[in-house]
Amino acid sequence: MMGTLDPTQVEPMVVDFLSERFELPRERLGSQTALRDLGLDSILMLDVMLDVEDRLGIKLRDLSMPPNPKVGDITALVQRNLAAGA
Amino acid sequence: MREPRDVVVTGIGVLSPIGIGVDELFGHLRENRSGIRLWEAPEHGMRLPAGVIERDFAGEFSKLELPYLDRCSQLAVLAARQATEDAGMQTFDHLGRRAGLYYGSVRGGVKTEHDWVLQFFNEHKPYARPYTLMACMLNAPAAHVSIRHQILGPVNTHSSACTSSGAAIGDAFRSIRDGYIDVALAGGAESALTPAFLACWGGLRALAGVDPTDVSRSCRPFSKDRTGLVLSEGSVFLVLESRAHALARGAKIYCRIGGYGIASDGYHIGSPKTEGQVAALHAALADAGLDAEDIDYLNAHATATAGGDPVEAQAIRTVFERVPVSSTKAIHGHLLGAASAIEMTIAILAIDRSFIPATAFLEEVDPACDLNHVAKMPLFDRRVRHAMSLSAGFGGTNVALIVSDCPDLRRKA
Repeated sequence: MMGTLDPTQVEPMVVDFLSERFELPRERLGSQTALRDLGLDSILMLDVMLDVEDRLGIKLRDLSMPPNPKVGDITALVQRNLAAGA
Repeated sequence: MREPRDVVVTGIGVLSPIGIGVDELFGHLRENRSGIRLWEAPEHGMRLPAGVIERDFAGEFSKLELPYLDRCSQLAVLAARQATEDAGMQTFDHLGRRAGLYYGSVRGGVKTEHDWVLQFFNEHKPYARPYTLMACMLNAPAAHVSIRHQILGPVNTHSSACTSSGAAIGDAFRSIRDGYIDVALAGGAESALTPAFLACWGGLRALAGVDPTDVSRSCRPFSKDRTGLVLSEGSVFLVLESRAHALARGAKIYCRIGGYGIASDGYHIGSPKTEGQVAALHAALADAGLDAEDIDYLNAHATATAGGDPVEAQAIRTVFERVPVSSTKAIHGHLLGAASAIEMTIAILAIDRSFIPATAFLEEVDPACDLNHVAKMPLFDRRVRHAMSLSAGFGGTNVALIVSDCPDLRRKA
């Protein structure tokens, strides 16, 4: 459950998850890499969020992302929801 | 009024139960080797003959692509790629709005849809995955092909049951002939061999049983002992071009499209009518400026149902004296949305490879289906100048397409 996850563990978890799910090399998944450049569109991103919810047993209430989001923005989104008591 | 232009076929892509690619397709036709296999769903007590392509194509796509690609889209994308490679023209953006895509299908991404319905009812999931809607929609394969090949003019999805891809090819032909576009990818795809969909056909009592001696012989059009149709999966795409465009880029040319006829029965949702089929045949002949005796080969729709085959035989007898006829569904089954496209392609091969395909396993003809049958084995070394394909769909749409030899242009690369 999310309550036991340290916020610093979120970034490696997101990288692991994207790498496994889409067979993307980890070295491409820097926090400043644009999701668009990885081939991830907004619909697949939404699906990633659903998988994150399932994997962590949480509900992400705030799904807002900046335009042209980067890998680090997923991390920030999960951390933000964590802090809000997701 | 624009001056009508000749339309030629310059590329073919095939994924079918009887071959991947045009050479494998011809190999099966030459030997009358059937692609009908045993399909089973033991959990539903189902055991049927089906035209299954025994290959998983998921490995052809990345994990980022696959969520959007139901198997139907996968087949369409791969067949379209093959056709464009065969034509030597992989992208079309340089043509701007003068390239089009005309695609036919009956059920689209039915496996994705059924998987979701099972999750909805059994697992009580409140929402589908975000991509599910786009993976199931009927025009998804057309959209994927247009995006990959940058087809920027009309991108249309036709659905008129078993005539879907025939009507698509016909409209592509007209659009080029009448000057609206110069190049088109046209064809169809179907991959609907799911238990629930097959059970719909089972409810209609239209499906063939498994032949007790050899499952590959289960589909027997025009035969006295036929037991019904055999459903299949596959995709076929053609590249069509104006003659001038093909010649200007030095393309190899398979044949010319001679004519297209479409007519509706206005009769019954599930029963064919001879008059509608006759009208489509006459319309295609008139469009091509040909007489019935000019046609050297007719690929019939004949699905091997008790009711359908005699109606079609009567239509063919009404229009033709003794045209050589076969139904190649005996070996490839019924590809539904890709049926017209594969059968027109077989008519093209009749011209290209100088042979007349046969109706396999036709030992004793049903007297109600009396025609000039090419039975059991093909006839080789026959020059075919004009070949025709007839399709008839549930709902009453009938399509006839004529392809014509053009020896002065053919295969010049």
